[in-house]
Amino acid sequence: MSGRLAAAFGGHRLALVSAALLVSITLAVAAAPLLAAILGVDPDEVNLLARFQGPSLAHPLGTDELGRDVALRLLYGGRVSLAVGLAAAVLAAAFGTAVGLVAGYRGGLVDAALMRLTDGVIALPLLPLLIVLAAIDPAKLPGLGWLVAGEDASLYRIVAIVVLVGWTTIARLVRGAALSLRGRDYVLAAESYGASALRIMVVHILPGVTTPIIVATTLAVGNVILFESVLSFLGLGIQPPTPSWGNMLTNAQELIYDAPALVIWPGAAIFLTVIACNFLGDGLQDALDPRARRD
Amino acid sequence: MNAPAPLIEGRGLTRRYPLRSAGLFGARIGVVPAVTDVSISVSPGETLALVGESGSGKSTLGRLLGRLEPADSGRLWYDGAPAPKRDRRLRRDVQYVFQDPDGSLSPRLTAGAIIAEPLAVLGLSDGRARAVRVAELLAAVGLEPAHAGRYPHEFSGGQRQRIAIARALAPAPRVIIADEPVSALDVSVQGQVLNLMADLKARHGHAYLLITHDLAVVDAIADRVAVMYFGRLVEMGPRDALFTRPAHPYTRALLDAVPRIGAGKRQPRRQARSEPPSPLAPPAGCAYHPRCPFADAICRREVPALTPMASGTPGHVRACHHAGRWPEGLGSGSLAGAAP
Repeated sequence: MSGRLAAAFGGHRLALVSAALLVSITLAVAAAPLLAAILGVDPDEVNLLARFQGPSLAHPLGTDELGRDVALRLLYGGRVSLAVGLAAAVLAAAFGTAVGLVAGYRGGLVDAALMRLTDGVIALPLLPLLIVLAAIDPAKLPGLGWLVAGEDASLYRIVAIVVLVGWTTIARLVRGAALSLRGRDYVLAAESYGASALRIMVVHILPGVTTPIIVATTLAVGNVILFESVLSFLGLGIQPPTPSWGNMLTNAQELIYDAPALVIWPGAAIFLTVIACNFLGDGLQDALDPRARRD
Repeated sequence: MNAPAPLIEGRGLTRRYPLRSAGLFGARIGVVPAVTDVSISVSPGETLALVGESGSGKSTLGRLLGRLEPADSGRLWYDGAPAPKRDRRLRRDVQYVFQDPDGSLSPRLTAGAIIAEPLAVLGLSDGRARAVRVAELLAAVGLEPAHAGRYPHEFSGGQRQRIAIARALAPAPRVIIADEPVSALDVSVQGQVLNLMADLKARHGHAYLLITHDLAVVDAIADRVAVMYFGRLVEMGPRDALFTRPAHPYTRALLDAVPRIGAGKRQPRRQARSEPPSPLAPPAGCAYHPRCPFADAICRREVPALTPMASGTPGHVRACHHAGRWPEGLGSGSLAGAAP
């Protein structure tokens, strides 16, 4: 077996392991309410008499500074982190794809305007902007209150923030691909019998750019999870008591010497999920690249 | 000449491409004339071959007539009236077959979807009827109805070109513009596809505008021939008249350049001198004069107009100042001494 082939196989094996890991994590967090019911433990139940307990049968990963079960909070936090990561990455990809398709296919002034907008968004200083955006209470925005009312407000807000700033990578990617595809004969053929711009973009150009979109979206899921942790860590993301991996880290930072396990578990969860997303993205890239597939 | 009214007609078509320097702001450093003031028409049911060497503008002219790109000046006429800019009838009646079926079929669509698309876009049939029509079209181009579910990469080059032809045929057009439809195919398949095109025409009665550099193809299926050189028409006429009595020095050079098996040394070659001129510095007057053995002062000064020949076949026109000077329909070999 040649070195290249072995490397490709190795890359795929890593991607397979990552996929399996992501599926298990997803299944586990999806089953969180079930586990809570079986164990008869409420993840939000505070028990000040049982703080900082070590692993036991009742609490497999011990308890935190308020006596809550760490394992269950980790799973519930995973629900939030994964849901936010997936939703934000997919929505950002959809928006970026639309912008990229229009810019790449239309070209000219439309392209120039959209790409300068993209450059502008990329050039925004992210953190200060996020701090400002996160300070906005969407419930007080006229017309939006009904949409984001309740506990989940911070969740929607973080998804919206990520979509607003996160669509640029895919927009550029798709725009480049669309630009190279729009001069193809099959696009000209469709134009010659009068296919609409929308039809050409969706039927003829989009299928040619799905591979980079899938790869970039997979990588983005990991990034968004990381991003959510950063925001939550700064206190701008998911608001307690709703657990997320990010805000679990925040709570644990003062206790890093007293109860390192409280830092290690959410940190490891973030690390594993993000790196699995990255490996999976790389693996998909290799697997979906038609040139790699053909030889 | 009692010809039927032309189906599509270009009047004074001109197309230039701006040439930009490399770099972000690409300053315009020149203009390449691809097609200059060409008037040409295709009549119902005829096969008009457009020939010329690479860079002569024949493909660009085909794209102008097929509305794949706009002309800088000049007008398209359709059915005896100026063609509107966006016209559903034109989109249905004029179809285009590209040179390379690898590039002209969407790689992620099935053959059936590719053939059905013009029908869907033009609203010609739907649902069940469309599936039936697709099966019909596949059969018409010699493929199986079962092939509808396959993707382009699962077919051979010749089969792919058949799919492209089926797509062009789908809306029952009156003209099919085919740009080098067989030159990307294996020689063994070229004949089959050409025969198919001829058969389809016999059955459906559409016209062809066939763009090619292959005179054997022209000889096989063309009714009329138009010769282009450097963006202009230099000669046009019925195939037999043009082949037996070429009336422009360039046409003669083209015909002489065809290799003939068994011709031996009987035919001295009158190859065109040198390379075609640079499109960035077009020669004044007749563009052919730097390569023409008969060129003189007037050729370097004035662009010759297309004129009928004094004693020629009806419809046989050429653009040469020396219409009367060098004998029309000159026999083989008699110019042997004139070429360097």
